[in-house]
Amino acid sequence: MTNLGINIDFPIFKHHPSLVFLDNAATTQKPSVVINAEKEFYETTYANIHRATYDIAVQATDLFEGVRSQAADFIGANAPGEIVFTRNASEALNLAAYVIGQSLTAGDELLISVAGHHSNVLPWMRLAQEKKATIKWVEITKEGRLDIDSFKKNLSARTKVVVFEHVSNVLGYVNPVQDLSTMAHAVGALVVVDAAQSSCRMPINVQTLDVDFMAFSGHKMYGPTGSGFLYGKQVYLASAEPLLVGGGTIKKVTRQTIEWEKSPWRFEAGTPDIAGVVGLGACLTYLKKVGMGTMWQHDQELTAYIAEQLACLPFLKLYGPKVLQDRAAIFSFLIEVDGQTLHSHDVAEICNKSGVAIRGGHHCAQLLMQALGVEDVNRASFGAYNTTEDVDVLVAALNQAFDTFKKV
Amino acid sequence: MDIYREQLLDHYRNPRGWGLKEGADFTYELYNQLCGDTLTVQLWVNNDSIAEMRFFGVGCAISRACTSLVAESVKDKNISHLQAMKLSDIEALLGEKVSPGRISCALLGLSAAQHALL
Repeated sequence: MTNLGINIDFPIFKHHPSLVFLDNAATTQKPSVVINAEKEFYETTYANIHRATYDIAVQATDLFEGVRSQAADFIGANAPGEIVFTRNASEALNLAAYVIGQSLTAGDELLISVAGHHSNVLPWMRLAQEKKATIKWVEITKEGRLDIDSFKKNLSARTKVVVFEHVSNVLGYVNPVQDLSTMAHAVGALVVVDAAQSSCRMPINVQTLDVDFMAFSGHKMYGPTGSGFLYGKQVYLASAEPLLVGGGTIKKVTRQTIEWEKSPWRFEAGTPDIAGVVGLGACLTYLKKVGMGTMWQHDQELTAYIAEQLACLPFLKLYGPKVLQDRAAIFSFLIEVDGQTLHSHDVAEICNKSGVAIRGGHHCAQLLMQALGVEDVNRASFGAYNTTEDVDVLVAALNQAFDTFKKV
Repeated sequence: MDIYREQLLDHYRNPRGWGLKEGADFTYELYNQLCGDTLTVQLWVNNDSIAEMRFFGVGCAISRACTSLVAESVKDKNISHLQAMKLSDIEALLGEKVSPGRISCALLGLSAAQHALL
């Protein structure tokens, strides 16, 4: 199933027929059902939520809360109350750090993946500084996976939280979340997982994965920008104070006292991106229709084809696992010509001329770049609308980049 | 437009003024946040004239080639020539326009040299 045949659902490909969009780890294109859902909401049912009693306000509130239930269902949460809407995974991870930080003390340890996106590194670095906690880093193996031995070695009774990605946004590996959660829980540590690169391509069940917090990015899973959510086990959200405070976060306030609202609303200050959440709901409906199992099968078949094609390019240095088990369709690489490595922006520019959109740079993972010993890499990250033909166009563009710089 | 033509490739492969030396009159290091490129530029100045411009750094083909073009252009000219240089001058030396996404790359060396004189 290397072509899901869903390109027709995405209007951008009508506007740009020769666009080969391979920057899906950065963001994904939107199906018309998502775009239309937002438009229709603004046109027919728009009002603020949780505030007024007139008809469209009640309808808007029901739509919004309906998406909370959808999201809970999508990931196998126990209740809608375990879903806190945020504007992206970054905000979700900042919130998780703030919540967990309320029970951290000096000398506690945080075990963090060195391959994490900055949004799953910086909130924890700042937390460690504030609380005088110690960070232990989980390293990367030569193969380009998270080093499970390094995880085990650095896990101890002092570890209060382990933080890692479900799927690496640079190396494409899929972490054994369930195994890591089991090990973490055995020492009494909480588990926080960044699902930004996994919820777009595989089924997620937070019960099976046994995570305590999981961050989701709406715009990276074919939903609108400004949408996302944090899954948090009720027991941890129930008594925590919110990161952002304001309208909607309290039951009652006087000059001397604050009585917080119940979770999850306590964590959603101000007017949220209501239309974005409505669009996210349409997105979840769409993804359920396509089927996340089908999406994963497509990802894996594409991964096999990509790996096979890239292996035929002798000038390509691939980062990330070559073994295709537990590996997603995210491929990072550098090109060498006459003993010199091409800068990733030059490669991206040449690819752009063939309509191929790939990324160059540090991919918000500078610690990982340092661990790999590089300044920057190129990344091609594939989505549900990508096909084997797209891979062929990429390969031609990479050959073009090589030929451009090769001395004749 | 194809920026990766002979002029750029020549200055990328054989950058003029490549490598730093002791005794520069002015030195400046610049960092391009967009991509992590760093560049150090050195200037030797005699009587308001640029005797030499040298540079070293990690960067893309465009930043290296454009800095080389600047180094070649400013040699033995009055410092006002360097101070007045703009993107359009670099594009004229390159023989190509620079796409909007790469302007910061093209200007990295020029910016560093102009900052060095401040």
